[in-house]
Amino acid sequence: MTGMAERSPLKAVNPALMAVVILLAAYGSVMVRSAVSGMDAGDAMFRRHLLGLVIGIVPLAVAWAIDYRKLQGWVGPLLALDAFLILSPLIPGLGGSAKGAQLWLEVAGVRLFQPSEPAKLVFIVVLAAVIAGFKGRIETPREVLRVVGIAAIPFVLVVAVGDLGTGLVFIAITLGMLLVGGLRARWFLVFALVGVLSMGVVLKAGLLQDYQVNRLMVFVDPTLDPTGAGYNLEQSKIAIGSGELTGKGLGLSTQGNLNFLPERHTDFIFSVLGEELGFAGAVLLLGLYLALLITALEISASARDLFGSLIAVGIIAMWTFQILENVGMTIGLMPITGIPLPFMSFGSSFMVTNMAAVGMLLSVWTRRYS
Amino acid sequence: MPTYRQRLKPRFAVFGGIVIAVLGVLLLRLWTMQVLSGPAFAAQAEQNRVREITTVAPRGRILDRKGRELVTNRATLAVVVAPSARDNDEMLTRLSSLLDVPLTEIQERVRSVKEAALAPRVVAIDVPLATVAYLAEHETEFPGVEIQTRAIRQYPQGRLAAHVLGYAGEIADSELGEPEFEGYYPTDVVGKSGAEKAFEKVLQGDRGRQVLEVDASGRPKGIIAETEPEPGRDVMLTIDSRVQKVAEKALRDAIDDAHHQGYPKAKAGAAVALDTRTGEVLALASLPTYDPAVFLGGVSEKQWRSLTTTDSEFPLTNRALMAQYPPASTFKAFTGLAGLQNDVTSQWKTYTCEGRWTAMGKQWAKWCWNHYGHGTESFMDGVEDSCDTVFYEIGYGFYKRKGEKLQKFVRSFGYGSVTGIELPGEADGRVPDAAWKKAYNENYPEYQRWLPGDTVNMAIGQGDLLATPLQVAATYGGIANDGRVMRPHVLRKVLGSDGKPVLVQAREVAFAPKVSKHNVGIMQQALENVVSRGTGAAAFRGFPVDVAGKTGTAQVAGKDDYAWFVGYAPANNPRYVVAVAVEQGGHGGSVAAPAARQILAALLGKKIEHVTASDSSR
Repeated sequence: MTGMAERSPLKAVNPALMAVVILLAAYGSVMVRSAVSGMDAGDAMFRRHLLGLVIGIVPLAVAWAIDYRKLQGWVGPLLALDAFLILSPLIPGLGGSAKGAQLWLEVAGVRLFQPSEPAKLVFIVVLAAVIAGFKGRIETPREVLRVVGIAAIPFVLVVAVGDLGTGLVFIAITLGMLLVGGLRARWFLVFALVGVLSMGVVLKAGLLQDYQVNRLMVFVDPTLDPTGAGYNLEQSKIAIGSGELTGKGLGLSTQGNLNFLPERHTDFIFSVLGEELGFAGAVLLLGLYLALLITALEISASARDLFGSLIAVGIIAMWTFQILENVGMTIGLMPITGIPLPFMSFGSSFMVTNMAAVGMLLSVWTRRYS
Repeated sequence: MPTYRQRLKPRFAVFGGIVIAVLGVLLLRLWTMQVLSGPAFAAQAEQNRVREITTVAPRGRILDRKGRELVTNRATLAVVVAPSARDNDEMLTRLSSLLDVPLTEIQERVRSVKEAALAPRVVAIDVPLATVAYLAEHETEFPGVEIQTRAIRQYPQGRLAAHVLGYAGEIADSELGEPEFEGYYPTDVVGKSGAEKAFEKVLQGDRGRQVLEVDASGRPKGIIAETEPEPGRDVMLTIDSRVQKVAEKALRDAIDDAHHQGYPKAKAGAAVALDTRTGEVLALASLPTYDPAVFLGGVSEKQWRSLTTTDSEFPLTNRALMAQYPPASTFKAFTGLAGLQNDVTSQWKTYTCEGRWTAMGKQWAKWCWNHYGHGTESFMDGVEDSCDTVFYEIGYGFYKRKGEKLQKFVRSFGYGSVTGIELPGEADGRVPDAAWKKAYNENYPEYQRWLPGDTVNMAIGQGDLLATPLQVAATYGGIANDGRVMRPHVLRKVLGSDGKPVLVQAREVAFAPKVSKHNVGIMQQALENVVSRGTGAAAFRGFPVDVAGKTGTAQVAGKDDYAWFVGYAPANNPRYVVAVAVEQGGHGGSVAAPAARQILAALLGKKIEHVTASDSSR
C-alpha cells in the first residue's frame, strides 16, 4: 500500500541509490558545464541542464508515489500509450526532425521533448507485466511468441520512425528481462540466429538511412572516411587516449574546446571526461555506474514480486546497454548511434526519464515488504 | 518467498555478471587507450591543435660597388585567395574577369598543393587601386579573397646589369628535393640565374615561425610560440653601375657601327671589364638583354616563349661567360708568348710574309689576311700587324716540336677551363688537341688524325679553338698582371643587418702559368704597339692613356665575321682590362675597339667618346 512509505520513511528510501544518483548527477553537471563552456549559448545550456535535473524530481516523486503493482493490469492501455508516444512526433504541427528522423515534439519551432525517452520506461512496464505473467517459466514457442510479439510492436514502430538507437535499447531491455524472467536458454540461441539473419536482410534491403550505414561501415574501418563519419570516432579516440592517466584538467580539453569533438556535450560527453580527467576520471564514473547498477540489482532481488523485479531488471538493462553503447562508441568498441550517457549527457528529456526510472526503482524498493 | 525466486536466482547471477562484464570490458579498453597508448594519442591531439605558419623573410638587396641599389624589394598589393575557396568556381570566374587573369591560371594557383594547407595563395600582384577598392566594397561577393601586401623584387635601374643580377622566382619542384635547398618551403623565392642564384644562400633569409593553436576548422585561437623572420643579407657586387651603363651603351653602339659598316646581322655581343690586379668584375654586359621585372609574380607562358625562341637570340644567355667564340687574333698574344717561352720564336726573329704561306706544302697553302703580304716581319711586327704568316710559322714550329706544348701553355693561362666566376653557367671554352680530335670525331675515322694544319689554325685563334669573352679578358688581365691570372669575381662584400661587412671577398689567383717576366714584358710591349700604331690605333687615336691590346676578327662557318677587341690600360701600370666581342659584327678594330675605348674611358675617368674607326685587318 502507498501508506507504507509514509508510515516508515527510513525504510522507504534507499540511501545508497539516492547517494549514487546525486553523485552521478553532480558529476554529469560538472562535465556538461565544462563541455559547454566554450559554446555560444553555453551558459544557457548549462542552466537548461540543471533545470532538467530539478524538473526531474517531479517524475521521480510521481513514479515513486505510484504503486507499481497497479500497473500490472494495464498492459493494453500502456502498450497503446507507448505506441502513441513513439508516433507522436509524426503528428503534423508537433514533430521536429534531427538527423533525418522525426524524433522531437516541437511547438512553434521550440523543442520540447523527445517522446522516445519515456517510451522506454512504458516499454519496460509493459514487458515486465507480460513476462511476470509467466511466473518465471517461458518455454513453449507460444509463450515466447506472445512476449516477443508484444515487444515487437513498439520496436517496429520506433525503428519505423527512424530511431534505431532506441530500438536497440528495446532489444537490450527485452533480452535482459527474458533472461531474468525465465526464458529457456536454447531460445537465446534462436534469437542470436534470427538476429544475425535479420541484420543481413536489413543491410541488403537498404532499410537503413545512409548515415546509419556509414556509421556501421566506419565502425568496422574508421579510416574509410577520416573526415566524415569516421572523423567523429577518430577524434573521440584521440580525445580519450590523450587524457592519459590523469587527464588534461577540467576545462582544459583541446579536442573538446577546439571543436574537434562533435556533439561533445551530448553523445560525446564521455570523450570530454576522458580527455579532461583521464583514466582516473573514467574509473570514477564506471565505479559510480557499478554502484548504481548493483544497488538496482539489490532492489530487483528484494522486490516483493516478479513484476517489480523485472521492472528493475529492465531499467538495469536499459542503463547497462546505454553505458556500453555510449562509452563503447567513443572508444571504438560499438558503432556510433545517438544514445546518450545516463545522468551525464546534456538533454532534459533524457534526464527526466532517468529520474523517473530512479523513481520506479524506489517505488519497487519502498513496497518490498507490503 | 515464492518458489520462482529460488529458481531464478542463478539467472540474477548471470544478469549481474553480464552487467559487471560490460563495465569490465569498457574499463579494460580505457586502460589500453589511456594508459598504454596514451602518449601516442596525446601526440595526435597535439598535432590536431598545433599549426606552424611561417612568414617569408625579406630577400637581401643587391648593391653595386658604391652601394647603389641594383635589386631591392618593394611592397605590392596582392590578391590572395584562401584555400577554402578553391572549389568556388563561380566566384573564381568573376575574380578572373575582374583581375584580367585567365581562370585556369587562378585555379592552378589556388589549387596548388605546393603551398601549406592554410596559406592563402597569391593570384595577382600589382593590382590597381580601383580593383582593390572594388574588392573591398564587394567583400561578401568574394568569400575567401583578400588583399595583402607582399614584398617582391624591384629593379631601381631597370634592365641594367640584368645578366649579372639574374632573376629570382618560385622554387621549382625539382629543386625542392635537392640537398642545397634543404629547409626551403615550396613557395620560397629563390635565385634562378646570375647573382640571385650565385648568392642564394646569403640573400635568402630565415623564415619567421608562428606556432598557432587552431580549432577543428583551422581557425587560429592563439599563438603558442613565435620567432621573427631573419631578413636575408645584402650583397655588394664589384660592378660599378656607372661603368656598367657605359659598357651596355658601348656594346649597343658597336652593334650600330657594325650595321653601318655592312654587317646587318650583328645583334648580339658581350663586353667585360675586369680589375687586372684583383679580378673584380667592374662591368659585364651581354646583348640582347631582358627585363628581369617580367619574372615578378610568375612569368607568363607567352613572355617565356619570347625569351627563349631562336628569333629572340636568347636574351637570357649571359654571352660574356656562356658564349664560346673563336678568339681569333686576340689569341696571337698567347701563341706568341708560348713561342717565346718554348724558344719556338724570339723577339727579333724575322719572318717573310708573301700573303700566301706554303710551308706545309703547296697543296696545304694558307693565306695571310693581307693577301699582298707584309714582307719582312719581326716577331714584334707580327703581333703589331696581326700577321697570320708569322703565327702560322710559330704554330707549325710547335707542330714539329711535338708534345702539344702550345696547348699546354695556353691551358696553363686558363684557356679551356672556367675562370671560376661565381655566376652560374660559365662555359669552359675549348683547347683542341689530338686526343680531343679523336674523341670528337669518334664516328668519322678519317677526321681523327691531328694534322699540322690543326696546330697552325689554332695558332691564329681559329680552328677548333673556342673561348668566352670573360676568358679572353681574364687571360689578358694575366698578361697585364705580369703573368698572374686573377679569378674574376662579382662579389665584393656581404653586408650584415647593420650595413657593416660580414664577409669581404679576397682576390685569388686563378692561374699562375710558367712564363718568364721577360717574355711577358716583350708581349706587353708588342700589345702596346698594336694600339699605338698597329691594328688598334685607329680606335684609340687621341685616347689620353696608353692602352695595350689586340684586335680580332673571327671566322665562323656560315656566319659573318665576329669582331673582337681586348685591351688593358694604363699600358705601363695596368689597372683595367676590357674585352668586347660582337657576333657577326665584322672587324675588331672598327667595331669592338671603339666600344672598348668607351669602357676604358669610363673606368679611367676620362671623357667618353664614341669614335668611328675603319679597319680591315684581322
